[in-house]
Amino acid sequence: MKSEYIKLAKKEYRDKVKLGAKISNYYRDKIKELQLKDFSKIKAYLEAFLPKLNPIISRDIIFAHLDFEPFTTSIANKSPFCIVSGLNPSSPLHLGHKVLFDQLLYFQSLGADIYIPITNDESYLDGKVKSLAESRKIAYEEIIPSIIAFGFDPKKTKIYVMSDYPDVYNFAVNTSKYVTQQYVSSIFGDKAIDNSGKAFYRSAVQLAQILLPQLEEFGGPKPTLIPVGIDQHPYILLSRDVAKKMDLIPPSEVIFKFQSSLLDPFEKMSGSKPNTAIYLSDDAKTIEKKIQRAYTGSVSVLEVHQKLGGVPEACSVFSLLNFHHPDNEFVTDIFNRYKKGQISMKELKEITVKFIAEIVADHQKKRQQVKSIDGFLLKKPINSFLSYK
Amino acid sequence: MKNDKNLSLKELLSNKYLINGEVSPVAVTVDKIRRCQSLRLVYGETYDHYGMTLDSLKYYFFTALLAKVLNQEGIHTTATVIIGDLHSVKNKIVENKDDLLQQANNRLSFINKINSIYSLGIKPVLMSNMFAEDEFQKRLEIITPFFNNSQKLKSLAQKTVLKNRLTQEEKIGFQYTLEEVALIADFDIKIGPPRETYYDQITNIVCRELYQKDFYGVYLKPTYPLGFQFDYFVNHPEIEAFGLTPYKAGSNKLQDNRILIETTTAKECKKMIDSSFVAKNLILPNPVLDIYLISQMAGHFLTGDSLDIDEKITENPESLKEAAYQKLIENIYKPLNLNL
Repeated sequence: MKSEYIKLAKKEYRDKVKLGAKISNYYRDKIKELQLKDFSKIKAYLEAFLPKLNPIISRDIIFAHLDFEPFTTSIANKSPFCIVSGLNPSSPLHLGHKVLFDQLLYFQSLGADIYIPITNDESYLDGKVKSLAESRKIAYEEIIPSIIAFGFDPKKTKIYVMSDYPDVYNFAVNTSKYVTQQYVSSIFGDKAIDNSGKAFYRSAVQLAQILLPQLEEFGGPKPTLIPVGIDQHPYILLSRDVAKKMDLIPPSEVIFKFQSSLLDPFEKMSGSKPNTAIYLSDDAKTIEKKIQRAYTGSVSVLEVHQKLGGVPEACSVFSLLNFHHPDNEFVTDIFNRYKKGQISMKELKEITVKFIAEIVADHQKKRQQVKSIDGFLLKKPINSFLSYK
Repeated sequence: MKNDKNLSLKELLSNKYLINGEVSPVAVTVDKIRRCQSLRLVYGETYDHYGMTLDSLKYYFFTALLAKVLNQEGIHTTATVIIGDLHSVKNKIVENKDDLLQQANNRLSFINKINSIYSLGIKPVLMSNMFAEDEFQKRLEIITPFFNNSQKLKSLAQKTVLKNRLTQEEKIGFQYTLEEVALIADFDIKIGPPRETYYDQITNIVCRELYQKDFYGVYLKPTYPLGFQFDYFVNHPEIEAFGLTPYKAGSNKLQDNRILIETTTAKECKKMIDSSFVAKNLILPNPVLDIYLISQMAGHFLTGDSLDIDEKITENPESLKEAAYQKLIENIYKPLNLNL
């Protein structure tokens, strides 16, 4: 009977190794398929130039880019540059969002001005909330204080809720002229634009958000960086096309790996599927429960795990440490020992629960300390494209 | 690098700081070279109105060092530096051609001075003198029809010229390339920058097919401009990949970012070194490390200094900058009586 278990565990190990390879290949293949550039060369330069690399870069969480080159000049000269990163306020923030905010914070420390449109209109159009009012409530009461709690610099961070910054819609009318309905359908598919609001949003409003910092009111055309997941790459291509037509500078992108779902390391953590995600509002008990149920890179028979080792590349639990633990040496040590079977699944989970519970509790504490969001809200009227003599 | 008393051919040709490992075929053919009784090394360079670069010295020193190591291994080896006077004025856009041709003799004298101060044992010769020799003309006559009948050689020749000059070169039957090949086919090992690999591939085929002998190319790491931060290399991928032409000071119009040993002052060198990008990672451009290596080779020829690289210095950008400058002054600027 025991030998049967061992045989099954060995097969389980092989399957996990295959899954790990599938995850690695997925990103490598995407670089080729979408004609992106591997970020490793830029990483090597940044490693030589900066005193310390952020884990987002040192652990290859940012793995590809399109036209990142001009930003290296800003970083080298310590001159400001611009980042836009929107957020859909349909659920509380989770650790997948934190990956994005960690990047924004890091780039802000290197000189970036950050624009964060809170796209409550998109939440409503996609049916993720019942009303615009509800999405505004989530934006102001949940999302924005939570973002501020990450420690953004108010002088270099501009947040706006779409419903309360209608000037962007005027600008969207401007951008819409450059995009045909057919083009939008070919990029997003008909399902993603199945009502007129979605069509306007995807073909124009989103572009207006991306191109907004290049308006006269914000200093005119400038290189703009958009951190995105691989699934958002088509939006960037569309915005680059439109920028060229409008005599603006085509936005660049850095593409980051998904924070994996707790239940399947090949899927991404999703706010609408609570069991796949750890929310920044979760308590320690909930976090422990979720991590205990998570998919791991370890086989079910301890003896086999100790002999063959774990597969951190296909482990949703290790992924939490990899994406969030600040100490490179610690994470490398865990990776190596787990891979050699020197750390059991139980130990890995204990370490991870303790660490994640701590950072989430810390975030909640900081969130409680946020008393005002006013200093972060973008209110500047934009009308440069409306004025006439 | 070890002191050359203990330095083997294999060690020298697989030196990670100097040799461009990706294109050098020599490291894997050391055994073949060792079977030779005698070898002729060659390094050839053209020049422009801006004068001699420090990077040219890297090639003189390395060529001399390679010859020394081969001689120590019992292979009778000579080293020749060809001053490409005629090829320096070949390009239509070159101005003041007569003046530039005149400079060949000054360059020859200066290389002789370097040769004498550092006891390099290299022999500088003018391309114009070599072209006048019957042997060269005969080789050119034999190689030309062989080249014209080979599609493979023609496609390699296409890679030796810039895209905007391709039509012109095709019209004149790749004359520049053929002259270059006929010149170096008389030698066994050519030392040059990685960009010259296509000339050498042609020469290799020519030597095997027409002269039944092997021909090897040894490529040193690319030459990079000084005074730039890392973003310059990120934004100029062509320069990052191949570097500048080491011996042409005005390569990519970056003469102000090079050390021109007859004109750049020590103070200007210091300024350029201090504002340069330095990386520990050897896959990245490191023009300051190059200065350190060139100056170290100079010190080796002057006083027998060790060729070992102190990794503590190369690990720390500021120490490397300081050490590179000090060695440059002590081992090159002072002995050559340059502009301090």
